[in-house]
Amino acid sequence: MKQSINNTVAIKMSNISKVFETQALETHALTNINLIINKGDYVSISGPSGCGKSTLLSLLGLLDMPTSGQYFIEGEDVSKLSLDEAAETRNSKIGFIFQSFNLIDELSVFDNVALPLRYHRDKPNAETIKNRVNECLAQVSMTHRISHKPNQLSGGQQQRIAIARALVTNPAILLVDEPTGNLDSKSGDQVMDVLAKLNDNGTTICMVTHDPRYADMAKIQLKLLDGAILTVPSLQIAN
Amino acid sequence: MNSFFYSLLYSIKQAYKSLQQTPSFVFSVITTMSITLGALLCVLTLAYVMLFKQLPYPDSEYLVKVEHVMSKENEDWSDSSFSYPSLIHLYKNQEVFTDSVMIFYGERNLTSHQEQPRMNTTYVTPQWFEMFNMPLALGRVFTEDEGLDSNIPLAVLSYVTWQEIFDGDTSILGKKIRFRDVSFTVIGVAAHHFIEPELLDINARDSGRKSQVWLTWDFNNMNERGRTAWAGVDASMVFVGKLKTDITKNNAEQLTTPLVNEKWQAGLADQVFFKNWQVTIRLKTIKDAILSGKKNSVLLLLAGVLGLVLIACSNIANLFIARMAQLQKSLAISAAVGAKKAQLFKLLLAESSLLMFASLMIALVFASVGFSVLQQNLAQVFPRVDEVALSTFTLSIAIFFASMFALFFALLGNKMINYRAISQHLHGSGKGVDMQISKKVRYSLIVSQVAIASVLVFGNLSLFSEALKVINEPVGVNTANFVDIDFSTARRPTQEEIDGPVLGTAIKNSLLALPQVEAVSNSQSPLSGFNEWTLTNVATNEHIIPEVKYVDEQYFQLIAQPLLAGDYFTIHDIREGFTGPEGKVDNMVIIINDVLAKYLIPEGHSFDDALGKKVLMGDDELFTVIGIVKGMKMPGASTIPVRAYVPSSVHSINMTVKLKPNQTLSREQVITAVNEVTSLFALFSMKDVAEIHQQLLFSERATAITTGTLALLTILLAALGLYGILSYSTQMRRFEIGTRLALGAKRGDIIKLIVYDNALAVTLGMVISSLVLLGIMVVFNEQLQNIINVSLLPLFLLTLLLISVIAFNACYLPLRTYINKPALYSLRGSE
Repeated sequence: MKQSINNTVAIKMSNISKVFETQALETHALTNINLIINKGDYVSISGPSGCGKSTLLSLLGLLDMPTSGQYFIEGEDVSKLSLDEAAETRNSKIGFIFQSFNLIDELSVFDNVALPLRYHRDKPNAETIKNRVNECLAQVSMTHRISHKPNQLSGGQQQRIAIARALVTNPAILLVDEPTGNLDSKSGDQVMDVLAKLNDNGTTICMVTHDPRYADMAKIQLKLLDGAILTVPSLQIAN
Repeated sequence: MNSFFYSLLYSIKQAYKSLQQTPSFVFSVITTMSITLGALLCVLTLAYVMLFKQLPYPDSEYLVKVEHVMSKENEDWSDSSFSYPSLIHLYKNQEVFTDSVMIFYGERNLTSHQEQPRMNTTYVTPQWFEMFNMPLALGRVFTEDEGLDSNIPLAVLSYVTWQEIFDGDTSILGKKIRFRDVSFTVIGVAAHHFIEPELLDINARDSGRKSQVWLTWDFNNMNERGRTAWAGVDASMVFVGKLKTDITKNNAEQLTTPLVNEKWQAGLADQVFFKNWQVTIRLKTIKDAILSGKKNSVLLLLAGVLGLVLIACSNIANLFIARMAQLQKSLAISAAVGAKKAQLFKLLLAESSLLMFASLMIALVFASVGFSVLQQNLAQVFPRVDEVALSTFTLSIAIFFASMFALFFALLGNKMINYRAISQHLHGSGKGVDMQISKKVRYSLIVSQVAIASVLVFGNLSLFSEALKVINEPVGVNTANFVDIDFSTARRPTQEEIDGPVLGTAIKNSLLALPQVEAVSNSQSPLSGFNEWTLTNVATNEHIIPEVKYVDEQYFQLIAQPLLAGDYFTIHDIREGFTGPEGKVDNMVIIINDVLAKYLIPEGHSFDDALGKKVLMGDDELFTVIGIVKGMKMPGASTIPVRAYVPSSVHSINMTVKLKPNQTLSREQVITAVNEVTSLFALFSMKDVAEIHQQLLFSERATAITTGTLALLTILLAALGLYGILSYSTQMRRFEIGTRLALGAKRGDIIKLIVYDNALAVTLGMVISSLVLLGIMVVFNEQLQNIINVSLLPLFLLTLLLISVIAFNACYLPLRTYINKPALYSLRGSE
């Protein structure tokens, strides 16, 4: 379902709320989130522990479904997708970068990076996969480790592989969850440099972090508190 | 010492508390283990009693059953029964036994009782009671001077008879009871716990026979003619001796063979048929005699149960492995505060011991239930089953197995703990370093589970289908709506009765007059068994030993047994004499089955050529073959033996009654009908032929039930086990599954991934099971050639399909938790 909105908009959220219900209580994790991220933006979301950062990122990444509100990716309404439709959209439109890298230990670097292509609806052939994986590994300067297993690499290297994997399907947006949380500061800086470079080359990025130093590296900084966006400096709020 | 107990108590308490947290784990382990251990204890106790336990009789190692084997030159006669005069001769003249007894197993109606019940009567010489150490509830046993030729009619009742027939009458001693026309004085009652040795050479119908009353030897069932017939053998007679301590079995055989043989040959000197025949005496230890051929059944059962134990162990191993992963955090904390490896092991041991102890308690209950099931249902299959009970042996093996299992599972758990991972667990505060069981261990568990289950399921299913095949095999004759009725004489006939009208015909007519009766044949029913005769083919002088039945002129038509050549009997062929063929000696006719006909004619000839052939019974009774019928297979039999049918006598009191559709006939109706004709006869037995059919199939049904149950249990345990290990391995891959979902894998992709991943292990297990089965087939080729053949291939494929379906479900079901929820659920930690 296409909406007639500006084709520079990558992501749009309107009145998104998320309530977790348990037997004892209802937790309002997010209330009335309105958000637009344009193509080429570099957005950071920060806030104290428990403010709803991870929940927001999960909703952005279609890993979970909002309780109410509307969500569009590149103009397509994705608020009410089935599990399989959500998987397909994740595969083609979203690249994930996790705090703990989430590489699969049994697979080589090449196969880890190629994994999203194997789930792609176009079923690319081996040649295409090989070229695309090499391209992405080159972007993160990891082509020399192509046949290693993840546990043979340092944390920083693993995270760069994870970034290559996130890029491999040319997603509309990269969703990045505390990318430096499991890294020492030197490796953390290297990873942040890679992200900055990707953004300079046009990749849209949305990053969750609690580290103000890294949050500041984003062009747009959102602050979350108690499930709501607190301050919006130099931003656009969707209406 | 105190501190040791304190620490032990502490470990047990901790283990108990920890187990309380995981009721499903406790439930799964205890259920699986108690069922398995219960079955194991039951079967092991049975095997121990049957194969190893000392018989409950004094000096039982010296007790031997004596066999009387008649043979002609090189031909061995399989029958090892005594002739009456041989038995008496041996009893009177032997010098190799310190004690010897003669036993005659018979059946008689208790005519002094209102209902005239048919009872198992056992005639014995006095030493019997001492030899088998019979304890008494009341009275005394026979004394020395109440033995052979004393002619004093005395009776000792079994405890059950005393209770059930005489209502536990405490003044029973001295009272008279009557069998046929002999009154016996009751002098004793056996104690409840007496275990009678099963010495009767058993066929399926008689095994498990229990004597209801012991009577003095002289009144046994043998008729006057039989008492002097050296050639007539009867399996009802048994001779047991206690070897002198300085004489071996071989010695005794060498000494007694000439003793019996010379007398026997002398006794038959005037019979041409027995020229060149001789008797050999063979001794069998009483234990072997009792066990006779039943060893394999118990070993087979043992194999089945051991298979079950293997599967159960592999299941519980899976559960323990999963449990170790669960315990990782608490173990890590224990280690952090200073618990040593040995102390952690002690905790695991306490936990597994508690579980095994609880299983053991329930298993003992299951085993006791199993014992009574065995005693009530399988006494015919397993001799000595009455001695099976919870015993020191059962308790010792129970404790042994429970301890071994406890130790095994604790060691396994201990091996699963990766102590390096424990410290990592603490350093990494749990993020992304969850303990995992190595892929190799998981795979080998799946492989072994599939291999064991396939072999067991296939083994049980093939025995089950074999038994079903036999059960459902048609007999080849009509047996529906038939009742087999036998009468016996209640007393000696008076001269008027002997000279008067034919009573057999009168009874037949009186039964025919009953409204529910359609037809009556003066023959035993087709399923009631046959006699064995020795016939000589006059043309070739060859001996044949066919099974023979006396039948009347309606028999074959009534049961619809097809005639292949010649004619059925007519009313004119029916004999008019009282007993045996002497009643009519000229122009005697015989009908044979196709199997016997093939012996009489050259190969390829038509059955018509067998008509008119002559066969000789003894020296002077000549029969002419007038008809050939199609052979019928007795239920449960594997082959059709050579059979012959001779005309019955008008005096015959064996009847087969065909009822009209949907009619029944009661004992009382038959008794009334007979009493209208005569008081000479008592109703001896009355059985639906369908019931006889079921009895003949007893061991097949027992096999079908046992193997069917084992197959079901195996499938159930295998399914549980595969589910356990696969659901654990899925749980371990939760993050990976979450990651793949996050990267865009659809549900189908994940199912495919898990199925493909485990397919190799499942296939490998199946290949191993095929190899094991092939190996079994090669090694046991001879024993199994009747069971294993090409027709089992579909069954094997079915087994593999079944295991595949189970494996697929075991892959799919645990996955549902992850693939039917948003991907976030799998990616999140353990909350």
